[in-house]
Amino acid sequence: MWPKARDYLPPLGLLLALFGLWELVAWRLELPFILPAPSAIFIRMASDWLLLLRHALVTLEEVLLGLAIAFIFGLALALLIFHSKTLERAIYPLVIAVQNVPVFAIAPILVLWLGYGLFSKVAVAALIIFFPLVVNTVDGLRSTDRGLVDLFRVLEASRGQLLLKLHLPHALPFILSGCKVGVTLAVVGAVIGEWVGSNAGLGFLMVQANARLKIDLLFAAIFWLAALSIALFGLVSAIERAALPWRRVGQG
Amino acid sequence: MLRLSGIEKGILRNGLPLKVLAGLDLEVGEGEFVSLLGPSGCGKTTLLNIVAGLIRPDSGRIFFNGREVSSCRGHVAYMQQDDLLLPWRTALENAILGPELKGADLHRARHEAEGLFHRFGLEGFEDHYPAELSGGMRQRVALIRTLLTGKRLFLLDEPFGSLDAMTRSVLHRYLLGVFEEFEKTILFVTHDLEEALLLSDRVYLLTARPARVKALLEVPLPRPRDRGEPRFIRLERELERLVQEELHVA
Repeated sequence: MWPKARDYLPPLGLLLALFGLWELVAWRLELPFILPAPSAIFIRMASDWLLLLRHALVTLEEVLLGLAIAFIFGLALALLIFHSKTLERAIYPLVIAVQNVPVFAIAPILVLWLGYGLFSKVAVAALIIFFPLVVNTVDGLRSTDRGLVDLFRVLEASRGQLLLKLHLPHALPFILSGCKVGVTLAVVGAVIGEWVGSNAGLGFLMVQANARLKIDLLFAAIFWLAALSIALFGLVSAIERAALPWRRVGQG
Repeated sequence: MLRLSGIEKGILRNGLPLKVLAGLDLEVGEGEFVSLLGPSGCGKTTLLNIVAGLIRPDSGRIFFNGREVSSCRGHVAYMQQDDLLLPWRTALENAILGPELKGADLHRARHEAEGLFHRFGLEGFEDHYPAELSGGMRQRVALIRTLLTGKRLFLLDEPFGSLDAMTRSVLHRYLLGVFEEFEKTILFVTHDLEEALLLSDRVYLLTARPARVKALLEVPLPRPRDRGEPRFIRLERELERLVQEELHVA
């Protein structure tokens, strides 16, 4: 289950080397308001850990709520598109078109409508992952083997059985890989929402720290964001491994 | 048990109408093993799909136990060349798909499946996923699944077509065992002349597309059959001659 030393040592070594280089450059430049040394950032992370944690939890909440909403509505829309040719023809081109509107552009509108609180960020996070999730799920549902559908038809499966026992299990890997991409995108979405207008969250903290020239705190917030993103990605990957045991076999 | 009369079917290929089946008549009696032998692409699979109720014939009628079942489903079990196992289910879960979809007693189905796994040399592989099984094992699981549907009439579409000769002859033995012990009726599609003669009571030889029945051959030999036996060889030559004749015409 756990990666072998051979797999994680090289990237870890490279990361440490990059930090070392950064540290050297930062010491030579002596411009802490532009490029703080990693050591200074880590000291800031330690001294302000409670502040960072508090804002990180706000961002985490936005991301998780956004994910949950996108997942529920995305799955529902994907099923509708899959089940009705008419709905597919009506909705699918719109889904693809809307996907190309940059979320950056509509974030201010969402903040205007939904306020500075939690909901506007949840909406941005949900929007940014909603469409990739729908497209992935529809692709998954549609790619079911024709022969398997015929097998179920010969066995006189009902529509519900066809969906629950064939199409959905078949689409599950697609849905989960959509979630995997979605979870990191959702973090981006939440932070965009926080930049545009908020009173809490890591994005808010970054804007504040920047304005007060606390660049080490700005970097500390970025480190937290990266850690949050990686942790969420790891979580979805773990869920994926647990939900798809059959994918691990036959691969040695 | 099964009677087809005047089955016709055309399809569109590259926008042009193409006749696949041209008035096909055939009969399969209760407890009979009947093979459909024909060149590849002559419409054998189309015919089985029609019998299974997956597609509609353009004309013609299908009778099952005297009742017309044209474009009805649920009266047959269907096994194809592709094992069609669900990759996310274990071998045993795949085997009990039929009873599960029917809402039958799953406990009993599992028990029955375990017995068949044992009998087909799959003991210990119940909880393996299809990806972990060899082609022959997967096809045996598919055969168990077909058996557990509880249907009397099996449609088998080149079920062993992708297997090597040794695995195939093992599976022939299992299939004949099932056929005799469980008193099944089998309509078997193949393009392998020897396979048809080894297994069936009667062989329908089909023409090239559009398919009609070219000849009907009885195989009055006891099973298990020996392909070196003079009577077997004589039948094989006879069938070979008919096939060659058809290839020359086509």
